[in-house]
Amino acid sequence: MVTTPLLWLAILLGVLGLVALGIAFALPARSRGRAPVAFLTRLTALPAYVRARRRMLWGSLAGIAVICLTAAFALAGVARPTTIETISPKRHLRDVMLCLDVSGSMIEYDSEIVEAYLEIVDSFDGERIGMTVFNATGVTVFPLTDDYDMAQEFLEEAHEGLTSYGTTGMDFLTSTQPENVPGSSLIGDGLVNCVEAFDRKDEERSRSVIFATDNELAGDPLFTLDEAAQHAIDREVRVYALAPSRYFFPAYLEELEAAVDSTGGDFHSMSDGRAIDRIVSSVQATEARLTDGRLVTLFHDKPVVPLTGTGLGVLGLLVLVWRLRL
Amino acid sequence: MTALLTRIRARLTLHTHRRVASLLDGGWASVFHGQSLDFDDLREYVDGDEVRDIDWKASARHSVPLVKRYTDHRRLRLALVVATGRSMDAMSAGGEVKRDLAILLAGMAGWFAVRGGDEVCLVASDGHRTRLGRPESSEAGLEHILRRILAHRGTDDRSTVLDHLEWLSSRLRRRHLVIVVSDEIDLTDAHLRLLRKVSSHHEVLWLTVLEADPLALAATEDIPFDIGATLAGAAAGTVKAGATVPRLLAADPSVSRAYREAEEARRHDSARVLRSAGIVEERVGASAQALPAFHRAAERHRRAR
Repeated sequence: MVTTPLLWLAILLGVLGLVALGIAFALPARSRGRAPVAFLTRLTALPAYVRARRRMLWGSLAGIAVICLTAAFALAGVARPTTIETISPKRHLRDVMLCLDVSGSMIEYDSEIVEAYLEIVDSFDGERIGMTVFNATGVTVFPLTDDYDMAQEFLEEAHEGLTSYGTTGMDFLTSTQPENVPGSSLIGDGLVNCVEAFDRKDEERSRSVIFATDNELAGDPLFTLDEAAQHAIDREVRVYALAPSRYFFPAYLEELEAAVDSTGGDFHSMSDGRAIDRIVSSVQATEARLTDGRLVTLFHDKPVVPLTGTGLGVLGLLVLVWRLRL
Repeated sequence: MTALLTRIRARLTLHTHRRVASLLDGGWASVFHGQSLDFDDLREYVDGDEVRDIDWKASARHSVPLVKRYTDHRRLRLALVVATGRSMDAMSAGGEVKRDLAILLAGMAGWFAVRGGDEVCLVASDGHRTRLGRPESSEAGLEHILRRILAHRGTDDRSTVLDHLEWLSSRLRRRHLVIVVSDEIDLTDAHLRLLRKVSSHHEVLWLTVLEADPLALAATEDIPFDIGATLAGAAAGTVKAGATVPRLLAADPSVSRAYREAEEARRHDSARVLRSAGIVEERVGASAQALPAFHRAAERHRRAR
């Protein structure tokens, strides 16, 4: 948005200029003598004179137009057009990893979760997001990035792949289920994989994982969930769990809740698909509370258009003066 | 108001009185040499004839008054044909008002005539048409004539000396010394017939008061404006009559060149017309040039005879 903090000064100068012009016209002209001559038409009827007079008329009109334009541009410059940008520097130090369980038990929820992610991407401003999926093994869909267009592309492709069960779009099912790894839904391995996907480990950044899983383990993982949580704590990564609501196996979810609580994150139960964006925004709010969310307002001067206009106007005036030999 | 003639006389006296006297005392009469009407007869009275020339006895036997025609070398008459129209209120080349310059020229000519005992009459416009003034042979009468020229100051009259000459050509029978004092009117071949007619009947000297140069005025700190809308300007319809000349235009070399060329051509044309009509012309731009120009005119006229 463009604002003009010095608009009053521009208006003041403009009014002063108009007043000065008015006074100049109101005052009697310089005391030049008026000399009566006879037969002036012998001069004024000359074609050369008529031409010169017409040329002078057009020249003066052009001059007035250029002067008006130049003055308008100059006043626009005086008004100091400025764009205001509000940024939160800490946001740029935030990394959010979307960690999606694509095991058979979760696949029906995944497309909804990805849809929610797609909406969330729009609300991001400055944070880096990344995405990994896991089943028997973890796969990075896209690394941490603030290129939201790219993230959106990947998410759309992931959505397509998940709704079509891998026949079109991105196929997560075969890539996360290599033949040499026994079992599936290796939750602990998936979480460690997610945590390890964070880069710039030497920088002090706020790191969080949105961990969408039902915690239904089917196989023999290298890391248990608790070990994975401990790993996250070691890496100072908060894990926010996002689990579909299950009535039959509440023990898995209780285990998951305990694990994420230990990392400083929250547990969210996914009662319906619409709840996801609410959950993610609450994750963001929590992160914002935990990190310093101080806003910084930046004023960017935009003098290019007025200054260019003024410069061109002055050039035009010089050319006119030169042409008219004033 | 000081008398107009006093100032003129002072000027003439200042200017080497002896030279003036010698030149004009001799030159004056010689202007009028030849052309003596040697027969003594009667004719009908016309405007401008002396009342004392009327032959009352002969007139009594006629329906119209008759005048006696004399051969008279002593009492010659000077007809001053002076432009008094509104263009005379404009500036002359020297910066004076043209009317003042015309009064000076008319006064000089008149004073020489009066001092030589000759009569002077004024042919000028009265604002509507040409009038022939009463012949005067005294300095007071000459003063009166000059005042009549001055009295037309600020007039809206557009008449020129050509109108007066037209009038005069058919009215003045007696041979006069006609001294025309005019500004730079357009003289073309169309006027040649009239001028020839006048110059064959009378001795004609033409004194032209030069116009101010509007470009030179505009180039300095003056704004030249037309003293009145001339007919030519209204007809041309190019630039509003009475308009001023902006300084910027005066500086335009193409305008300046075109104007110089046009003026050159016009002056050349006017001079050619007068020359082919057998009329001696002298040009006066300022009062300082008046007397020398007058001398030159008289001298040239005498030699031409």
